[in-house]
Amino acid sequence: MGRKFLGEFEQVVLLALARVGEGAYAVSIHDEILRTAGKSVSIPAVYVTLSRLEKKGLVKSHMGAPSGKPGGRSKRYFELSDAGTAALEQARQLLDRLWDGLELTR
Amino acid sequence: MSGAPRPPRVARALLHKVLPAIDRAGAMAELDDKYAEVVRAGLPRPRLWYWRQVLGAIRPSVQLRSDGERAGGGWMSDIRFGIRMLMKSPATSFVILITLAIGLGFNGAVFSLVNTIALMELPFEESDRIRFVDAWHQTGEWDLWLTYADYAEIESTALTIDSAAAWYRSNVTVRRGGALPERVLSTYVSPTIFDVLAFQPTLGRRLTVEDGLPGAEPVALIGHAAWQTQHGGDNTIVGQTIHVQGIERTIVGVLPEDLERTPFAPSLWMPIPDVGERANNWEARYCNVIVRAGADNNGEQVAAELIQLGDRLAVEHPETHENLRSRVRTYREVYVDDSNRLISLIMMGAVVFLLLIACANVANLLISRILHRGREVAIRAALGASRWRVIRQLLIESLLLSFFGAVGGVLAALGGAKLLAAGVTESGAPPWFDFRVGFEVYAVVVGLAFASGILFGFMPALHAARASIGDVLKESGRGTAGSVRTRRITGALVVLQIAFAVILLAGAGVMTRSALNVQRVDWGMDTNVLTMRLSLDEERYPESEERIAFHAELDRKAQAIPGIEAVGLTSSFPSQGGYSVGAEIESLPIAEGNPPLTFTQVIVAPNYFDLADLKPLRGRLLTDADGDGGDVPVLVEPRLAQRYWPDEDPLGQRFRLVDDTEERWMRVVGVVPQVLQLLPMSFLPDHPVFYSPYRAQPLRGMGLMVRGDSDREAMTTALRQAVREIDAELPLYSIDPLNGLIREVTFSWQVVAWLFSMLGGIALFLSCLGIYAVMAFAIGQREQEIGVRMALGARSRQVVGLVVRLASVQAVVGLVLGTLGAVFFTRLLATFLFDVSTSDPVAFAIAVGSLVLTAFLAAWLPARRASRVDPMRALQPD
Repeated sequence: MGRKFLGEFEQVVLLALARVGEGAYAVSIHDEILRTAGKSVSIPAVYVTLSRLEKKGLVKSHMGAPSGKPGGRSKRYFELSDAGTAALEQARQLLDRLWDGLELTR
Repeated sequence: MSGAPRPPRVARALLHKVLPAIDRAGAMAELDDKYAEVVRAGLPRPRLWYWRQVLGAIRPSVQLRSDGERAGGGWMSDIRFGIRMLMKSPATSFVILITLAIGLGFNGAVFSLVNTIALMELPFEESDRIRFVDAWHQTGEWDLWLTYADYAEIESTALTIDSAAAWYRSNVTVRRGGALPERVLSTYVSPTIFDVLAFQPTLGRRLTVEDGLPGAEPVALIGHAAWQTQHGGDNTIVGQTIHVQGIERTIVGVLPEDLERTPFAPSLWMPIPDVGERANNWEARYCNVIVRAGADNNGEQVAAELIQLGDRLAVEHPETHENLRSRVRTYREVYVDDSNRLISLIMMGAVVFLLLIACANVANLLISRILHRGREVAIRAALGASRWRVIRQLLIESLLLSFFGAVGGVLAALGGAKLLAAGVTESGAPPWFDFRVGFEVYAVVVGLAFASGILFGFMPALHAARASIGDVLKESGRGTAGSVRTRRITGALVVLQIAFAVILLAGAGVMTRSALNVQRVDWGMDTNVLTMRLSLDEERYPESEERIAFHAELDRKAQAIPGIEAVGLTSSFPSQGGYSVGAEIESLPIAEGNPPLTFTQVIVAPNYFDLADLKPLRGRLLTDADGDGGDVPVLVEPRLAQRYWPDEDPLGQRFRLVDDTEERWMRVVGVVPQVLQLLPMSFLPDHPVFYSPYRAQPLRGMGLMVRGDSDREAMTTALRQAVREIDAELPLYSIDPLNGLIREVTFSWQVVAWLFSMLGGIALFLSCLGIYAVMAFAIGQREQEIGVRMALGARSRQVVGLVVRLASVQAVVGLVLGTLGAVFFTRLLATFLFDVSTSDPVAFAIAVGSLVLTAFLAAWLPARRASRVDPMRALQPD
């Protein structure tokens, strides 16, 4: 862990998860990406990516209680793990270092 | 209905696969809701939206899975890498796939035919307990039916059987309501047949013992097909009546559909009449007998008991049963004859050769591909990949090819089987020959695909894994590719291919020549005539005189029809055989205990010789006065005269038919040119033919041949009218041009020949590919050498010569081996050859010649390319 780079979409999902904070679940993370990045992504892709991140130990999840509505489903809630936070930090530092003193001209 | 819009089904199924199990239910419901929202909001193309959502998840999900599997050894990545490698050289992959698909497809198609024959079964409960009983003559080679008395004896005394039944076929005239009379192949059965075959009628009842007693109400059961077509599937059919041979019979039942796929001629079943009388007749042999083994008895016990019983009857009834033995066989043994079995084996052998050729190709292509990748393999090994890892990667690639080859092979097999089935049915297979492509066929194709994938993929893989890293990575970069060892393997494969191709081509050659000969065979008369049959029934034509008068009248009327040039009356049409009769020649008496001679008898009216345009070679033709009394004047074909009176005058010689109760002498009054009653094939009897006058034996069922200049329709109508003027009840049936009958007889040879030609052609094509690939590769390996030679002043012709010489060694070895193999292989075909020697020089020359040409072309093309190489480029380091 940590030795590997995060994929771009993984980073986007992790950051969106961090922004939503408490009570984040797949759809709310999807909506956050849509809102802040203005980018429409596939909802199932978010689900799948969250599972992948969980396998890598970067996020944790727990099942919530079913909602009170008839036919309501229980949601899987996600939060950043310590490793996840560290990975985001590292990614940022890596990018910062790479950008340091760089001036791109056309 | 909730009214919620439904997302695309396929996409939803895909989503189900893609999502991790824990999120599946929730996520899918979530997306369904979103989809409903999208639809409600009236956004454009909601289905496309859904698809995008699903497809968006596929990439991350592949990553997700491979994460999990990487630790387990990376099969997935090997497979993905394999697919990438296959796509990197699409031409080679395509050739390999096509080769495999062709080889496998042919195997599958032919196997399905062989399988059908091998697995043929009666569609009844525990049908493996059913046995067929008949008799054979110990001193001759004939098979005989049993007498009704034999059957009754078996039924009442045999202990190892549950039940026994007798049946015999007969053509009858049937009239249903006001419809025109028709001829129907019907079956007379003992009521026990329902027990032996173990089935119940679809409608109505079985036959009972009472139905066969004298004075019983005449009854019949009709077959399923007849019920559907002739009676429109009428459910109230039971109780209705039909007229059979002028007698009104009540329909008491309908036979099940399954019975249509059996040889029991189920269009009409009637009880065997007058069984009391028949049970004492030990002489008349007309019964097929089937038995059902007892639950505790196997087929051998049944056979042992029935053969013993037959031997006892031979002792008790010496006058009728002397030298006869019983025979007990299974359905398959009765209905799949030896020539069918042999030809299926030969065809199976031929397609296996083809598969071997295909596999040799695949192996060669794989080897050359792997050698091309020698460096890649060596680098992998240098980086620490174990030998197993390297082999596995290469094996996976060849198994991938096997997999796609199997898919192609199954498709090709289905197509091929359809063609074969059409061929088989057209070639006159009986309707109960049930051709199907079963599960076994797919299993065989897939099994062969993977077996050849492993076998022919393992060899090159092992080879590649053995290659020394150091050699491969040497600076020249051209590696071990052309090592002696490899050249030996690829060379051997080419030799093998050429040898098998020669065998197939030689087989194809002799079969094709044989088929051509069959097509060109001289039947001895102009076959452009129409044939038809008619049968004078016993009830209305009991006396010989009436039958003779009928035919005289019909002949008179037919000759008067404008457009009809000639009419001939005969018992058997040319190409359709004749009556095999036992005979004894007066001057050559048969010693006690020896079998009689066998002749083919054709019963004709004098007008037959006009129609066939036969002039006597010796003596005279028959006249209307012949056959009335005294010796019966007959005509013989030259073969008969030469065989039995080589040094004597055949005219005036006499012979007697052993079955003739009146013991009349037949006196030869003339010799006429040969008209072929059968194709002279080695496995068909070649009993010489004689013609006897209709007046001497006025049979009920006779055939009519008609030659005329008007068309078939017009002649048929006019003849029907002529028959109706004499007898309104009498149907003309089986109306076919003689050429059509002949085509049916010869068709199967043409199918086999055509199949062999196709196999030969494909073998040629595949070998061409194989030789080309190996040569092209070998030359590629020696590009540098060629470059040096050319730089040193070699002419391009010399370079071409070098390469062609290289190929010719392999070609010559392959040709020699193949020719030897072909000599043995074509010998197996001897039975099916018509007027062609098994080692027909023309066929062999064509086979060898076309291969020489192919091999030369396949070597010359890459050689020419090599000779145009720019020496500078060839000598440049990579």
